[in-house]
Parts: sequence; structure tokens; C-alpha cells
Amino acid sequence: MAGTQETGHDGPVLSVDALRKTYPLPGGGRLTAADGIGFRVPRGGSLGIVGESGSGKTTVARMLVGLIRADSGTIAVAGHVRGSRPPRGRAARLARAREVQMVFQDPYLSLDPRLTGRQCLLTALRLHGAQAAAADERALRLLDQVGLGSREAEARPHALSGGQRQRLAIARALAVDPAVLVLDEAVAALDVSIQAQVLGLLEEIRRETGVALVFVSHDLAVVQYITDETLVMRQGRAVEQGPTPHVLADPQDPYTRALLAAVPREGWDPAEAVRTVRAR
Amino acid sequence: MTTTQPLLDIAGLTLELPGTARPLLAEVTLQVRTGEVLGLVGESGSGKSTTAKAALGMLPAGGRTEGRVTVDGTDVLTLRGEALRAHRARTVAMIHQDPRAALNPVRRIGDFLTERLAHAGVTDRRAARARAVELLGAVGLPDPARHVRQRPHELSGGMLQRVVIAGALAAEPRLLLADEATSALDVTTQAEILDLLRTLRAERETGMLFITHDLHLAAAYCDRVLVMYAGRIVEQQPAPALFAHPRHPYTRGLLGCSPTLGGTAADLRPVPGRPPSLAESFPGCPFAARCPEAEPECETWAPVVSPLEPEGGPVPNGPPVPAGEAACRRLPLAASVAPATHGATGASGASTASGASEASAASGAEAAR
Amino acid sequence: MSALTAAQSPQSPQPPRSSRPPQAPQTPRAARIRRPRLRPRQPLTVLIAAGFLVLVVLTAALAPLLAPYAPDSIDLSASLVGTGREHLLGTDASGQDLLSRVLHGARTSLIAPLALLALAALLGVTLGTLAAWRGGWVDTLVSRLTDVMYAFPGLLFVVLIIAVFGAGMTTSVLALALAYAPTIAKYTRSLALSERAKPYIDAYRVQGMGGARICARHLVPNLARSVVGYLVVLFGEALMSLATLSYLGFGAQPPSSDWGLMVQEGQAAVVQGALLPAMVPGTAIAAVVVAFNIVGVWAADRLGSRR
Repeated sequence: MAGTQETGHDGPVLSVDALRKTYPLPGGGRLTAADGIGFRVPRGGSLGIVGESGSGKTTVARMLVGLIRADSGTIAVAGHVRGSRPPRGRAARLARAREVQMVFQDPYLSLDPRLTGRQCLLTALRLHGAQAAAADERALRLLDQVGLGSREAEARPHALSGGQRQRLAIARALAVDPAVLVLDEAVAALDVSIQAQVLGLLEEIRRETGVALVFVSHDLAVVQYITDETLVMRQGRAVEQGPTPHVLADPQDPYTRALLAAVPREGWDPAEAVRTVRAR
Repeated sequence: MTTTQPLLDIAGLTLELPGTARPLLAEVTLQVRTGEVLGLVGESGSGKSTTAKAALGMLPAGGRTEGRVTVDGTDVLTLRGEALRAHRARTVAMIHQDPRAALNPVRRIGDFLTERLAHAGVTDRRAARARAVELLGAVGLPDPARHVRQRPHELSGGMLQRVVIAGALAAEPRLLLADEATSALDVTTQAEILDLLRTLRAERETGMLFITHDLHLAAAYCDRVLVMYAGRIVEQQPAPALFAHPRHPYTRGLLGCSPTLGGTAADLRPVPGRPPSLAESFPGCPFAARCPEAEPECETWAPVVSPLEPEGGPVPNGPPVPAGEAACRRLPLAASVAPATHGATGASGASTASGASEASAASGAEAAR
Repeated sequence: MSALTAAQSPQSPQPPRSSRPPQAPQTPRAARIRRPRLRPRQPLTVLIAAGFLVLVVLTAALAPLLAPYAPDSIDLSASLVGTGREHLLGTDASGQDLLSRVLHGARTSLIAPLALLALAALLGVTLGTLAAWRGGWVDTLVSRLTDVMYAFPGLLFVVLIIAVFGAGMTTSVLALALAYAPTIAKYTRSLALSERAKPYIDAYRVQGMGGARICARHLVPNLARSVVGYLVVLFGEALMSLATLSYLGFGAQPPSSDWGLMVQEGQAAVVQGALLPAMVPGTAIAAVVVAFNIVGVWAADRLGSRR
């Protein structure tokens, strides 16, 4: 409950401005993975970042949590600007971790294979200073919150299903009590019935804890269920951003229109979708 | 050639592996006709891919197999050696999810295609070269003459999937098996590949078994859709009817939890629980534990696929097939409608019905054991 | 099973399931297909080798109880006695009981390679992990260092160290540990590089955990299985190298009962027609090394290929 979001700051909990990242190309020159990306997310709000492979959406997600250093631009959580370098010293590192947490795409590789569900949460809780008894109690509450029972608490990841692993990964991120939760294709690898469960869980967590969500996905249909605002990326740039219903119902950018036209639905004709895609 | 004979005919296919609690496939019966796209939908572990592999005669070793798999009149499961190789090289072709895994990274695109052509009987190198370029043109790759000299890493995922499709077409197969063939692609690329496959089908009259986890994709793309759960077929209907009137609770559940454009959060109704693993066995209906409509009797009811009463009227332009089938105890008893449907729909209807009764006998034997 | 296959033609129609006795074991099809090896069979040789090693370790531990004589009790009146009731495996030139010496020698011959590998692993795993984790110039430095060590003949390097610091078992172990460390470092580095790329490591970083702690508490323990499998394979080789050094006079010094040293001491007796003093320790070395290699390869397969 010591999240930075409760320090009296009443602007957006996450503000990102002019974020830019380039990579050197083997043949000289630079690849622009992200350029001029900026957005605001209020407390309890949620932003979807949509794009196809190579659009730079994952680069943005990893810059938000500090796994990739941005070339330029600012990321501020509750008014506090995050430095581009990882901080020195334990206290600064932990404070930074409480700003933004992340859930990764691959539920099979994002959990330590040696730790049981409970140990996984305890590691995070103890790292952030919880005392033994309090950590135990908190771990149980977190497991309960994401819908995992005592069997899952004592199981190692290989004995869990994809959906259970992803629930555990969400609990692990929440253990740190972050102000912002970044989800990078967090439901893409799940079966549809499980995907819907996890989306429901995220919605519930957002309501209950007021954590702000940044939801990175290639799937427009999924994004609309969980986000208030949507940012469409293409080749490192934001081609369109605005309230999700507007973006989906009345897309202004031809690329967004192409993306929407390509989503299969009843009565959909791929040939027509291809024409829209080519027309962009 | 008789037009009534289905291209792919799987009848009562059951596959059990040692060390698993339930069969991988249980009494799977399906037909794909010439020029037809049959969608196969289900979550992980439902047996979709295993069913497709059966058409290639590639069932896991050490398994206990029952039933029959016929492609174009040939019993695939009894093929051995050269005959099996010829079957895989010429009659059936499979397109997988990951095109990069299907292509040797150090060989050129042209070599991949000429090798496939050699298997199909085009042994003259010059002719094979020319045909390779032709095939790449047919799958819509611009400048095919240049692409035959390239290696896989030089092409994007969408282009590679076109190459794989070109390779699949090399032998002019009668049946295409697409196993999540577009799932790894971006939506815009997916639309292009689907457009291509549809054009090819129109030109060549190939039948296609289209496997996907995406119900909406199946609805949009296939003629008929078959829903699988825990190795069993739970429902089969023409695509428009399946979406307008899903009959099995699992199909309804899948539709209810698949995100659709224009939906709102309240529309998304998750199916509780999770897809069953191979370690779980079911005395009755495998979906009973997750089914919102389950009754105590469902726990012991051995599933039987029964013909459905037509609902919502006949489908315009649809092929003359029975309205559909489903395996749910709570649906109106099929026996009352079955004989009527029989006479009306001819051979295919009869074979499905006999498949179903055979299936019920078999599950009886299973219960007895 | 093959008779059943031959008896039923593959084209024979499947009998309807209900009419078949329920306990019918397998359909003809299933009989023709080979069962998969779900559990890889443990070949008899591995079992024998493992049993032998257990025996060796036990005798080493219980050597004082099992040995009929003290290993260093000299009895010049019984010099170069052949096998007999008094001396089961005979005696050497100084009349020391060979059986007693080999039993006691098993201790140094097993403990020394263990110490060597422990030291080499400590050094190698640390360097390999450091190189993989830090990357950049640290990685370049460690990689170049290991490359140089690779190119340099190991024995020459060890002899060089011994020439500087003097002969003896401790020096030999230390020198060989230095020689083995680069191999282990290189192996660990490649493992750590792929492990580090997994998102669970990213998750620890995002949690705010320091790099040293991630490596020590989470990264290295996840490599442990593979590294240990590799070390088992190296054990036989390490034992051999140490025996070689003792044989050359750089390692164990008399009156130790080290096997390598015993071979060297027994060599002179061969000229006098007594083969046992060289044969007994030589066979012991060969048997243990072969057994370790058999078990090691099997263990490396099983430990390394999990997940």
C-alpha cells in the first residue's frame, strides 16, 4: 500500500513523452524502434498499445520497466521522472521497482523453474522488506486474489497450466505493489477460455487496486475489452491514439483501418481485407 | 470418380497412448469433400493436430489405434514404406504454424521447392527450376525468379508462409492440411494468406482441413466447422449455422469467451476451469465439469455424436449436408430425427449415423472395461 | 508379439469393438508399432559401473578396517611376493601389501580429483557467469583468457606451475584446478547466456533485485544440474591427470599410496618379472576412470537434458 501513487500527486500516474529508441543496423544506419511516443495513463486507467510484429510495441514496454534504456524522452511515474539508467543502490532500485512492474508473454519461461508458487511470491515480498510472517500472509492473499489455491501454491511451474502460470506471474508483479503494470502480450499464449478468465482477473485487479495498466498486444479485439485508450504503432511511430471505442469505431489513420479490416469475423472476406490493407 | 465419395474420410478414429488417462482421440469421425474447407476448432490438447496428422499416416508410435482413415479411397493407416511416402509426397500436404521451422535455413528457397517437386515426380532439374518459379508466382510472391535464389532469413514471415504453401502445392495435392497456418502471422498478413488459399482452392478444387483455435476465423473462412474437446468431436455444423445457433454448451462457451470487435467487457463470459490434460479421464461427458448446464446424469453419460434437427432454416448456397451434429446429452434426442435425415441426405448422412452408432457401441465397451 | 503380427493381415477389417473380448490386449496395428521408450532403459553397463563405483567409495571409506596391513608397513623379508594367502594381491619391492596400499590409495585417488573439480568449478562457474551476465569487456576478457588457456597445452601449464612452486599433491591439485577452470567457464558461460535471456531473469531485474543476487541465488542454481552433469564426466579425466602427475613424480610423494605413484614405483619390479606392483594400481585407475566415464555420460544426458 506504499505505492508511489498515494504521495499526493494528482496528475496522471504514468506520463511518457517523446520516447525514442534506435538500434544500429548491420549495414550501417539505424533502425528506429520507437520515436516520438508519448501518452498519459491516469490512476486506475488502462492504455492499449497495438501494432504488428516489428512495430516497436515491445520495445516501448521494455523501456517503461527499464529493461531497455531509451535514447531520449522521459518516463514519469506519479510525477517522478525515471532516470534512463538503472539506479545504484538497493533502496533506489526497490523504489523504482514499485513504480512499474511487468507481466511477460511466455508463461513457460517467465517463472523461475525452481520455485513453487508461494516461494516465487515470497522472494518478491521479502526482497521488498516484508517480515517473514507478514510475507507469508500476503503471499496467501495474493494467490487467492489471482484465483490460485493451495495446490498451486506448492507446485513448481512445470506442474502448472499456462493460465495458472500467468496468474502467478500477475500475482508476482502485484506483490511489489506497483503503480503501473505493463503487460506484454500477456494473454497471447493462452487458450481462449483461459484468456477470457485472465482478462476478467485483470479488470478486477484494476478496479480493486487502482493500478494503471499498459496492455501491449497485437490483438485489437482483446485490447478493446481491457483498455480505455488505445495507441496504434507502426514502424516505431504512433499512427493513431485516442479513446479505445473511437479508435476502433472510427479509425482516422489508414493503417488502423487496415488492421481492423483484417480481423476475421462473421461474413468477413479476406479478399476485401487485402484490398483495404493494400489501399493504406 | 464418384463425387459422393469424400476426399478425406475419418471414421471412428480412436487413439490411445500408454501412460495417459484418456484417449488422444476418441471416435473421431469426419469427412472433407473435394473443394470444401472444413474447420477444426478447439483449445490446446483437444486433438486437432493429431487428427490432421492421421490423414498423413503420422500417428504417434506406440499408440493403440482403432478406426479408419481414408484419403481419396486409400486406407492411410495401412500404408507402409514407399506407398506411404508417395501418399505424403503427392496426395496430402500440410502447412504448419511456423514457416521457419519448415524450411532449412541454409538452403535456398529454390532448392526447397525443387526437392518437393522431385518427390512429386518432377526429376528433370531444368523443368523443376522453371516450375519452382512458376509456383512462387502462383502464391503471389513478386519477382519469383529472384526469390528462388534467396535463403529463408532474407524473407519475412508472411513471404515464407507463401513459400511453404508453394511447396505444398508442388505435388498438386488433393488435400491440404493447414495446422494453425496463419496463427503466427500479423492480421494483415493472415488476410493475404487466407485470400491466397481461397483463390487456390477455387482454381484447383483441393479439399482443406483448416485447423485453428480462433473460432471467428473459422466462422469467416470455412464451409463447415467442427468443434473438438478432449479428443472428441462435440459439434459439427455449417459455419453460418454454428455461429447463429451453436448447440453444444462448449461451442457456446467458446463463442462467449472469444473477443470480438465491437464487444464490451460485459460480453466476455469466461468458461470456468481449463482444458483437460491427458492425465484426466472422464467417465461421462468430458465437458460436464465446466459446463454451466450440466446435470448429474452428464457425469456418466457416454458422449454420442447425434444428428441435429435443422434450426434456423436451410443454409443458402450451402452444400447438401445434414444440418449438423452434436454430442450433448441435453439436446433433443437424435434418434427421433435420425431416420428422417438419413433418407434425405443419402450416403454421407448414413455414414455419419453409422459412425455414431459404432461410436456408442465402442464407448459401451470402454465403460465395461 | 511378432507372431501375432504375422497372423493377422494388416488389411483385415477391424473387428467391431463390442464383439471383441474387452481384455484383448492390443490391436494388430498396435502390435506392429514399436512401443516408445518413455523411460530410457538403464543399460546394464551403467548399472554395473555405478555399482562398482559405490563399492570403490565404500572401500575407500572403510580402508582402515578392510586392509589387512598398514599401507606403509615395510617387510623386506616378503619383497615381491606373488598372490597368496598372506598377501592376496602380493607385495611390492619393499614388501608392502599391495591390497592394503590400493585400498588406502583409493582415498587420495578419489578425494584429490574431487577437490580439484570443486576448486575448478568455483572458479569456472564464477568466471563463466560473470562473463555472461556482464557482457561487454568483461566477457571479452574472460573469453580471451579461456581461449589462451585452451590453446596452451594443459600438462605443460601444470608442469610450469609445479616447476615454480615445487612438487606435491596440493600444488598438483591447485595447478590442475587452474587448468580445468577455463573449460568449465566456457561451458557455464554458454549455459548462463541462454538462461539469462529467459524472461524470469528479467522479472527479477524488474523486481529491483541486484545483479549479484540474481546470479548467485537464481541464475547459477538453475544451471547447477547441467554443470554437475558436466563435472561427473570430467571426474575420470581429472583422476587420470592426477595419476599422471604422480607417476611423473610431480604429484603425490612417497610414502603415499597414491595409485599413480604406485604404478611408478612398481615399474622397476616389472624388469624383475613381478607384474603385480604396477598392474594392481594400474588396473584400479583404469577401472575407476572407465566406470566414471560410463556413469558420467549417462548422468550428463539425464541431468543436462531436463526441460
